[in-house]
Amino acid sequence: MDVLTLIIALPVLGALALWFLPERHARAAALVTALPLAALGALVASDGMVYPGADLRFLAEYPLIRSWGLAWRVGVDGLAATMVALTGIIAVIAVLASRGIATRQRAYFSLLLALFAAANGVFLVQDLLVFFLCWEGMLIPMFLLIGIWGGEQRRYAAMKFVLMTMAGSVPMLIAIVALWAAIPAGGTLVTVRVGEVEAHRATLVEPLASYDAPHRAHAQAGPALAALRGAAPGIHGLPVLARTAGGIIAPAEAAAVDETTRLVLVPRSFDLRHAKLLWRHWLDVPLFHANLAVIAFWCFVLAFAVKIPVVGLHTWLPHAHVQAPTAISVVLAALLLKLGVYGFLRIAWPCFPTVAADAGTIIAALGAVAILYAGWVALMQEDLKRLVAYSSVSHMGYCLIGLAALTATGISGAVVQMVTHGVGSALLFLLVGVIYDRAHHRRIAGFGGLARPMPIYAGLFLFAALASAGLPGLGGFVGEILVIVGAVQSDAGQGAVRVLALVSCLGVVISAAYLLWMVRRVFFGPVTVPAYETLPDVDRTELACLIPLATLTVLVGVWPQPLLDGIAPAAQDLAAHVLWAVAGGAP
Amino acid sequence: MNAECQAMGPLLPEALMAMGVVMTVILDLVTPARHKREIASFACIAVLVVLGIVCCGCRGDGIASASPLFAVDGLTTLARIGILTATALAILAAAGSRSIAASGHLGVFVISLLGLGLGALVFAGASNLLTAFVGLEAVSLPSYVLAGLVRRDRTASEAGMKYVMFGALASGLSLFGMSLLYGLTGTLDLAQLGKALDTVPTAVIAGPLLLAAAGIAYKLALVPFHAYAPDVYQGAPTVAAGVFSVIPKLAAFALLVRALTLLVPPTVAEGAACGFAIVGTVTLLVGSIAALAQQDVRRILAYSAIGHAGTMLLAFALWPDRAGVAALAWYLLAYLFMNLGAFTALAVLRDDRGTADLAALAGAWRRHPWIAAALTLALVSLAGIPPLSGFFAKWLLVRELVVVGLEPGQGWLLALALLLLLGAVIAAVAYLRIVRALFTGADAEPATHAAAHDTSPETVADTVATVSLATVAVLVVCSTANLLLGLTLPLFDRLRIWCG
Repeated sequence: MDVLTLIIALPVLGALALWFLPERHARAAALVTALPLAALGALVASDGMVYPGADLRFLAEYPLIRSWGLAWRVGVDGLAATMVALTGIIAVIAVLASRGIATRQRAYFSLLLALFAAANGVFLVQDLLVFFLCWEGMLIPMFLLIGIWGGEQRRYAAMKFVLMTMAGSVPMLIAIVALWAAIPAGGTLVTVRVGEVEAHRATLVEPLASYDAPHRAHAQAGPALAALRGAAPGIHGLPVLARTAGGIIAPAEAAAVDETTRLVLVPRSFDLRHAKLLWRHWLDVPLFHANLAVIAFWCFVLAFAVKIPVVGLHTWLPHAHVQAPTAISVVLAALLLKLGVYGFLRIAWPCFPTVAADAGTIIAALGAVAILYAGWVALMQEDLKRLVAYSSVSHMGYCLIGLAALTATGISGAVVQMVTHGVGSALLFLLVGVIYDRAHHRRIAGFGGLARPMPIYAGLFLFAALASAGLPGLGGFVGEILVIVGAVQSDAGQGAVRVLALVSCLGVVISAAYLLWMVRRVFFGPVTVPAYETLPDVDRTELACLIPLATLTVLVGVWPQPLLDGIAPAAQDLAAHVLWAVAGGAP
Repeated sequence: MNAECQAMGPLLPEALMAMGVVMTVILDLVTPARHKREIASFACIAVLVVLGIVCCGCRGDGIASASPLFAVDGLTTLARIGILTATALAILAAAGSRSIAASGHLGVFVISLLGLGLGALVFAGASNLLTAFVGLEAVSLPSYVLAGLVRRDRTASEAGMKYVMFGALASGLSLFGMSLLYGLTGTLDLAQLGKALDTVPTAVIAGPLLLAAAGIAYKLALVPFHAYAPDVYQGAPTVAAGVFSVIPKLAAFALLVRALTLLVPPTVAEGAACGFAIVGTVTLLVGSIAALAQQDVRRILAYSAIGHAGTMLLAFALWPDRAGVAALAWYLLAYLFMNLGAFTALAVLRDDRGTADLAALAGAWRRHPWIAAALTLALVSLAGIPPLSGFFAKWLLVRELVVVGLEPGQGWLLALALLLLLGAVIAAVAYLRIVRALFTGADAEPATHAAAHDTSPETVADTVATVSLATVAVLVVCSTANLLLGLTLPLFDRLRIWCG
């Protein structure tokens, strides 16, 4: 088994193993599973920091249904590696933070581990249908985790979460099937950049497998290869250079259209890497007075927008966050919201670059609205957790602006923002959980002067609030400044993205306002409730959750270079791919 | 083997099944009341033997017509496998059911199940209007018995009566349509009928065909012939309700495919496809939306069965393209295990609580952790959530719709696929309401135990209840299928050959 499949399978195995252990050891067993997960994530990410290329590493491919081109394909690039490392860290933190779960621990921890498996699957899988399976695989564990271990209105919150997410992914499933069905059974011919051919040749599972047996590949490719010969006479009889499990990449030398592009045969499959090569093909398939690319793009955007969530589709989030137990809130904010942005990076942008460029203004506008509107709503929240939930929606808006900028800086910024928000929001939710465990309520107005009985707690909370508000030197600042800089550099949408980015700078002020106002009301002034005079400060387990995250925030804040080194190649490649496509795909 | 046996060869399963019914009747007469479960064992083994013979003898290539009345082709073989599997599972589930054993009618129940299976085999294999009608009645009559057999309250009598009345209406309409077809053409054989109908104007044959289809629509519980299903499923023994939702549908779909192939001339095919799309969509939406308003789990599952029948009917929206048939066959296979699993698990919970209200099932997980898990698996699979078999069933269907829908001018099929999946999302809410009830909320006291013991609710609730081995077997088979049926997808292309 290769390392990436192991990363996905490990939590599943852990979840199964839990059932053979006594109930009281469930948390320890989950921790034993989460720690190697974090180690593997760190390993993959640190490999990405020293690897210069944007291509996928640790590739593995196991055919599932050959005739459909369905396979278990995994691979990792800088973007995925960063997210897998984040998943590992959050897995450990979430297991540690689940101390308060008293009932049915085996079920709880196996569902929690299933969640991490599905999240890692989304990040690593390079097959559209398997991607969808992992995407949906998160629904039922989340539904049960909120529905069984949640707060008073957990039933409503769990149902709303499932309903909105499922409804969002219905068009995505149809789009996935349509993308597959739009490739002729024998494959289709497309021109790609030389670099991409090289990248694929390097990453093929069976490189040069059929070099000495061209007839086999010919027989498999059938009519499409005949078409290839017709399209590029003179290649007849030349050996096929390489063959994937699903089909072939045709004779690159002979079929060269010119110096920089190559004609290749892409077989029908769910391969995500092929979907990226086929961006021009999707544009050529007419559908409903438009083309497949446009319609599929918006189908994907809808599914991802529910997860991010974009304002208008965000209504499930406050309920889910407020009702979920602390650890689940952490997972929700730190991982689940990231899946949406990651979907943009992995599917919507690479596969439909021209459509994405056209839609840039709309996406950036959605981001700006999220930043300002959700920030505004957060200002008037009475419940600590709801406030943090809305601040999540607000901060995810920066990711959208970074994506819409279509520059390497902007895309890097979006990914850094995903990491820093993942860490920062996890920190805030954990801190809210700490006070909820002691006071059994979360009303801001019900607290006051907590800094006196709980000085360490107050310090950490202030730190987390400042990090979230984007104080320079802490994590939140790096992502936001990169996004803004990237957007200002960009000409996307005839400068509209630039204007929107500048407008959304106001969000920094708003987030400082609601976070600091909240900190003042909760921690300073006289102690309003006498019983709170004697509240115990954070204990060791809580510190074990909080300190690593806080350290990470500082690290990313003062020395973001390693993180950026890991992300940059993939981000530059994505931006280059989109700009090349927008320029007409010409050499 | 002598000549008669050779001639009987293709019909051996039906013949053996008929012998099995007769032998079970005799056994039931001579067996004392306390040994009735042995009858179930015998019947189950008999069905499994027949299933083995079908599996060994199946080739699936070409149409080997056994007689003018029967077609034994790949489709029949598939239907036989499905029907016999479902019958065997249903007999096991009946043997494990406490309420059926308590009623003292287990023998009659098993005999009726066998009879229903035999009727379904005849219905599915019919290539002649006569056998089709005989098959329809042979499915219906044991169903009426099953519906009203365990009379605990008035709903059971109501269920039996409603089933009979509705069935009589549908049979009457069907028979009327068939007689009109006979009058038009002078033949009852489907293939000859189809040839003769080619020359008859569309306007003339549409009416008789629609009337003849009433019987099938009734067995599939399609709108507008769906109204009986919730009441019948609620009143009938839970195991019987599971049978009603599976076996007649298997047979009816097989017959529908054959009838469409042989009977419907190309001139009408386009209109038929459109009609199937409309009826399927309406059925699907009615089933999904009405399920939301129900409080009784059996009624939810009844509407779910209606919704699934509508979904499956969309496979014919591609007609005369047969691409949807293989997807339909796989869907039915997955559906069989999902629904029988759900109803069997529900039967256990219902016997324990005395009612199948959502509120009464609250917190059932504590007392029945594994039953609740099996029920959840079946429900989540019915909801079509990956990676369970229900998802792949929907996926295959959507795939066929989308492949054709991408062709110019066929965009409405994409809209149909969207409606199909949105209907599934709506239905998922209904299923998840049941799951939510199982796992959350205070545990309602089990009716049978609360009176007997003077223990606190927690202790009663925390004891894991014992369940009979037969029920466990059914649930294990169904749950395994729910989880792992997706692994058979690489063989899907072979299924396509079987479906013609």
